[in-house]
Amino acid sequence: MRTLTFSGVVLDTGEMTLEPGFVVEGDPARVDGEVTVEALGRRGDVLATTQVPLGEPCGPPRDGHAGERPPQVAVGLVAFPAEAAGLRVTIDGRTVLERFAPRRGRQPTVEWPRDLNASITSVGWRAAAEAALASLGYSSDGGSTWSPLSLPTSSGSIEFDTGTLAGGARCLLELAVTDGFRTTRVRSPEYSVKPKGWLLWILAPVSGSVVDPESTVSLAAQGYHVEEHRPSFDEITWSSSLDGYVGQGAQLVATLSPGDHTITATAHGVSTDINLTVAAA
Amino acid sequence: MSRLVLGHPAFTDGSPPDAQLRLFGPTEDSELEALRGQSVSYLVAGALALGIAGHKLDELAPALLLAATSVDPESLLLRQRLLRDRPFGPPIPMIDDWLDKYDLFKGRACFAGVIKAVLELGKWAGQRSTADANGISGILGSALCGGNQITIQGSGFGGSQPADTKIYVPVAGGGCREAAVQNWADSAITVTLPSDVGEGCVGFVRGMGTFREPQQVTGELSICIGAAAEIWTKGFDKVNTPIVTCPPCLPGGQNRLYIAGPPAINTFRFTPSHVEPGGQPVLSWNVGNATSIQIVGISGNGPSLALANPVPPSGALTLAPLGGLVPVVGRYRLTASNACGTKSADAEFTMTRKPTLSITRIEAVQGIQRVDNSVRLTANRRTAVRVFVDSGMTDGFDLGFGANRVGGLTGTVYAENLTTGAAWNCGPAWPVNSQASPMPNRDLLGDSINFDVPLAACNGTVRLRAVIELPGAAGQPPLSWTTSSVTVSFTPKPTQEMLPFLITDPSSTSPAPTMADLFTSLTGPAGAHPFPENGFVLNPALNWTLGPLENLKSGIIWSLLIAKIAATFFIFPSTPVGGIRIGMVPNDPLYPWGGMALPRLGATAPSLIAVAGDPGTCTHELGHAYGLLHANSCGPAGPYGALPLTISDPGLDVARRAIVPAGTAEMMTYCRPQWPSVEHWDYIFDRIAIS
Repeated sequence: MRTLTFSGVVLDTGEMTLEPGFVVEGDPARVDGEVTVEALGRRGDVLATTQVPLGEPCGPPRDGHAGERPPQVAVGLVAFPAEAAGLRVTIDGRTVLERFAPRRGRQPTVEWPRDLNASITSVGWRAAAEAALASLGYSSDGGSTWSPLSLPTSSGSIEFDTGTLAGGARCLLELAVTDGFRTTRVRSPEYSVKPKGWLLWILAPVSGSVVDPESTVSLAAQGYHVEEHRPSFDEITWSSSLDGYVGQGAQLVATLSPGDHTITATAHGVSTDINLTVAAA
Repeated sequence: MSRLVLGHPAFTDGSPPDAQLRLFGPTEDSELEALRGQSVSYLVAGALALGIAGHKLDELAPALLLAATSVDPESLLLRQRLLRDRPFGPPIPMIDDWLDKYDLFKGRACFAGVIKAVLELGKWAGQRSTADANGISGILGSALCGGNQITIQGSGFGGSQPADTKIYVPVAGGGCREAAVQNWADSAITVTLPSDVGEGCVGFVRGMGTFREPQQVTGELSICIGAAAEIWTKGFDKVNTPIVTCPPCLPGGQNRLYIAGPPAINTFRFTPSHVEPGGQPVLSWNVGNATSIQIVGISGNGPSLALANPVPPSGALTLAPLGGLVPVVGRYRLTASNACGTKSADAEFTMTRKPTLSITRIEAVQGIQRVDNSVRLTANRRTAVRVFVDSGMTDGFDLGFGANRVGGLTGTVYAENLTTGAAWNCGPAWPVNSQASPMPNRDLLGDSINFDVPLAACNGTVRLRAVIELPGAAGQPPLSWTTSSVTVSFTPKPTQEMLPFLITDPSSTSPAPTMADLFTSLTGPAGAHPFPENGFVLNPALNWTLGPLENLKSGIIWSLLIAKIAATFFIFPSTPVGGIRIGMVPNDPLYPWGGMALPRLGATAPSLIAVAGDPGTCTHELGHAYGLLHANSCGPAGPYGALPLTISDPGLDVARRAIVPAGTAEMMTYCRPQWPSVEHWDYIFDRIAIS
């Protein structure tokens, strides 16, 4: 079914601020939600109605904000037929938002990167609508599956790290651009992206850490096969430039000799390292 | 001893066993080392016993070695008992690492080497000599002190000392020792008395020309067995003396030294030396060869003795009943003197309450546990075993740890998989100052003796068997010990996939979050929720920088951000990666919230955001992502779920070895500190993993 993503926040004034939605295929919310969202035709006629639950997200207050509560949020998919041109949102029979699509403009323009083998690259885009948002996705299998590379943004340049993109001969980028009511998906030419194989992340300690003498150091890492989407834990071995072999496993506790260490984690032929100083006694 | 050894099935039963104790080669396993020590002790004692009894070791040595390394429970228990090592405790279960296949064991070069050592020991023990006082008519000497000379008078001694004949003189405390011959004539032999000369009879020891020293024993045993053998073998290469029979005393007393050497303190002791409150130790003494004897107190808080010095050569004194609620230790010294010198000895008694330890309960804890172990356990997850021990003391006696409390405990826990039979040692107890108490407080880690179950043992149905001891003095059996077991089951749980968003806020001066921050945050739920070890699978993070209008110091931006993360799933729904969307934002103190979460609303992906490196907030928000609602304490928003406001039982962060007392606020409140309740644990346990 043709639906619109719906992300609204109820303000202190009782009105709702709404993120521009994306038109997607999906199933609209099927609950008795507190928020009624009506898809409106050009003349304000109601074409479809969806109930969306209204939730008060958790927000543990920090110092100085005791007693404050986050505003309520409504998130979901709402029915949005092809002829719909506007939305009316009511809560308890009170209209908190009514909005119509802006005048249709020209198609968005997109500037694709030449290749996806640089470490950081970006996609540039422009749309006619002032409040347009775009979200970027990536496929390494010719468009069968997609991974988001960005949250929806109004920024005209979306940067992303190619170092973790799965490799393949038929890789694609897709930019979804919306004015809140109409969504255009623009697809890139195919790229050939080098397979990454195993990545290895040292999760602890932070490089540059200094630890007290004779105290233990918690080492943690995870391997990840980018193309196969699977992790690796037990195969990770650890070594120190000063102490040699330290141990094996995704998480271990080590006692290291004083001095400046380069700690190296190795798994599946891939190594990564951090620097660590154990202070002198 | 020799009969006991010869009764072992290794001597009587010809069928070979499957395996022997892995006796040879290096090891760093202290448990195996202890078992090896028992085997070597049995081996040495057996060789000596068989040798003294005149048995032919050439035929018996292989069977003796097999008996010393048998791993059947009866043999293990026999060796323990012989060596007074935990005499009433059950033998520890054998693990594969401690065993050597029978054929391999017999084929090793060290098998032959150790057999050789056993033969040497047997030959040394089996040597024979004779003693007599033939021809002695009297002893001449004035002060019979060490270093002085005496002349043995008589006839028929021969013109010179025969090569196989020595002069032996009595030594204090019994036995005899060779005296250096200064002059040997047919009717008179002059010798120098050794320093420890005592009362007794002088004479000849003959037949020592073939004396063999067991010089190779140390080398063979130490090389093949290592440290476990050294305690027994250190002395064998320095023996330099055979086993002899002391000279007999002639009926007329012609060869007797009546008053010789310094005073001999035969007895100076309290009986019993350890008493319970109200006990009356008896001090007894017996001194020979002294001209003056004094007994005085030297230290401790024992009573003054009702004795007038000097005291007679022998006597006994019964102390008044010893009372009080603290231990009493009395140390006293007896000093005896004569012309040859002064000797002293000390005696000590202790009045103390002897604990009667008993294990009241064993709890297997991964985050929180009830007393009946009914909180379910996740397989392959860090698990602590808490052993609660009753001191058996109720009268308020204070051993130095508080009324009725007992410290200095040691113990072992074995985890035995009831399906595979595999067993693991759960390592040293923690913390080091754990105590037994008649009413242990579950909220205190020190009121239980705690152990870490090896991860490999946390699978299937497992019996946790604990042995707790109050050690005795060195070489003595434990003052008290207790054992008990509990059977628990570990349930496999999948890992939880996570799709991280590392969110940079240009308006914040706090550092941008990293994967290390994410890991730090996840140590919270890793410790508090029932995920397995390495229970979070992290997909590559999506690095994201907020726009200029998305300042997270504004509360509404948080709500928009969490909604955006939750809804992004819809834009690219056919994603090959998924799981919980977890956003890390800078840990900026100016932010209004520490975190935010949306459980699955309709078809949205469960999502949360949290400030970087805050494990507590991450645990709370992950609870929401799983669908838990708040518990209404310290001001969270509704709606509220069925969780209690506080936890019913103590929580335990096993990795950090940190206890969370019962009554602490539930994790889904806004109170600090917080910890998941049993209900919270169960809720997550039933839902791992979500996507």
